[in-house]
Amino acid sequence: MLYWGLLGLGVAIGLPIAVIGAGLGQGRAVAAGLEGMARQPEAAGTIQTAMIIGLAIIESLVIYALVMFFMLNPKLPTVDQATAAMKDSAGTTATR
Amino acid sequence: MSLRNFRVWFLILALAAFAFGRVPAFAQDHGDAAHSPSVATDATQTAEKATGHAVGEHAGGHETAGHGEEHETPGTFDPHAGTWLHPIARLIFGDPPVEEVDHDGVKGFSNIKKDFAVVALFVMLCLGTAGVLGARRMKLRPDGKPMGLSNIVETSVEGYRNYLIGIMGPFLASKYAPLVSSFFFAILFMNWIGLVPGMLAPTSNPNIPVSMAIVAFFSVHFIAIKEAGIKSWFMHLVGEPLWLAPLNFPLHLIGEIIKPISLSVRLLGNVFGEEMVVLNLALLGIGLSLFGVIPIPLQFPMLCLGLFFGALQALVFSTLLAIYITILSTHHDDHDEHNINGHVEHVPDGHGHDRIIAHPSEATVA
Repeated sequence: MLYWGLLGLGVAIGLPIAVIGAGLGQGRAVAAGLEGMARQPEAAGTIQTAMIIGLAIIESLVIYALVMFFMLNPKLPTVDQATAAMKDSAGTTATR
Repeated sequence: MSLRNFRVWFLILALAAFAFGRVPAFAQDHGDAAHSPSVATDATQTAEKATGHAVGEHAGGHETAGHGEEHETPGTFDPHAGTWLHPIARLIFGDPPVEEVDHDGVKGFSNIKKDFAVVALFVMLCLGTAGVLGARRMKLRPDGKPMGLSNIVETSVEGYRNYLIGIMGPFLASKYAPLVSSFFFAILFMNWIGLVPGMLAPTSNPNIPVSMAIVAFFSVHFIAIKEAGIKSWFMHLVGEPLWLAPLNFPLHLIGEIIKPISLSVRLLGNVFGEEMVVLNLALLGIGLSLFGVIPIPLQFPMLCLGLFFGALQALVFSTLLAIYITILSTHHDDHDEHNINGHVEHVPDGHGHDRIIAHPSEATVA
C-alpha cells in the first residue's frame, strides 16, 4: 500500500511541479521577448522565432515529465486491485 | 443555410466525424454479427467502462483472472484502437485476425501495434506523390505564376527555404534545405494525420521520432565533418580554452549524445500527450451523450490546438536540426570574430530589405 500510495503521489505531483517551473520560465521568456519586440520592432521576426524556439525548449522539459507520467500511469493499480490489497493488508502489517 | 446545400451536409458530417473520432469503432471481420455492433452502441459501452459505471461488475471477474493476464498487457505507447489502414498492416505483416480486448476499461483490438508504420508510409507516399506531381505537371497562370498543386508545393517549399536562410545563412541553407525541410514536412503531416478520425499520428509511437532523431544525429556530424573539416569538428568538441579540455570534452560529448534524445522525446511526448488528451475527451463526450446517442464533441478544441502544436513541433524539430548543423559546420575560428555589425549578420531577403540574423555561434541550445 505504501508503494502504491507513493506511486500515486509521484504520478499526481510530478507533472504539476514541472508545469509550475516551466510556466514561470515561459512567462519570463515571453516578457523579455515582447519587451525586445516593442523596443526594436524591426527585429520582431527574429526575436519571435528565437522566442518560440526557446519556449518550445522550455516546454520540452514539461514534456519529459509528461512522458514520465504516461509511463508511470499504467503502473497504478485498478480499483479492484487496490481493494484486494487493502483486504490482504488489513490483517497483517504488509507494506504493499 | 438550407439542407440541400452540399456544404451544410459536409459540415454536419465533419462534426459527426469529430464526435466519433478516436473511438474504437473499427469493428473487424471476425464472423458473427453480434460481435460487430454499430458505432454508437460500441462507443457508449466503451464510455460506460471508461467512466467507471461498470467497475462493480468488473471487480468480480478480474479478481480471479488477474488484470490483463488473458492478453498481453499493452505498452504505454500502444494505441487503443486500430486505424483505417489496419487491414493493409495485417496484410503486410501477416498478423492473425484481431480480437477485442479490454485494457483498463478501454476497448481495443489485439494486434494494432504496427499500424503506425503503414500510416507513416502512407504519409510519405502522399507527400512524395504531391511533390512529384507539383513539380512535373506545372501549369502556369497568364501572369507567369504556377497554379493549383504546383502553387501550394512551391509556396510551402520556398517559404520554408527562406526561413532556413534566416537561420543557417544562405550557403548552408541552399545546400541542406532539402534535408531539413524533408524533416519538417514529414513530421508536419505525420502529426496532422493523427487529427483525422480513425487515423493515428505515427509520431506518437516511439519508433518514428527515435529513428528520425538518429538520422538527424548522424547527418549533423557527417555534414559538420564534410563542411568544416575534421579538425574543426574535433575542436568544437574540445572547447575553447585548451587547458580546460579535460573538463569540456566529456561535457560536450554528453551534450551531443543528449541532442537526439531530447529531439525525439520532445516530439514523442507532445504528439502522444495530445493524442491521449483527445482520446480521453472523446470518451468523456461519449459518456455525456445527449439522449444517450449523440456524443458531444468535447475534443474539438483540442483538435484545433493539435493543429497548431503539430505545426509547432515540426517547426521546432527542423529548426533545432538546422541550428545543430549550423553550430557544428561553422569554422571554429569564427567564434570571436566580430563583423561590422557586431555579432549579427545582415542577409538580404528577396524584397529589398535586410534581415538581421544572429551569428550562429551565438546560439546555445541543447
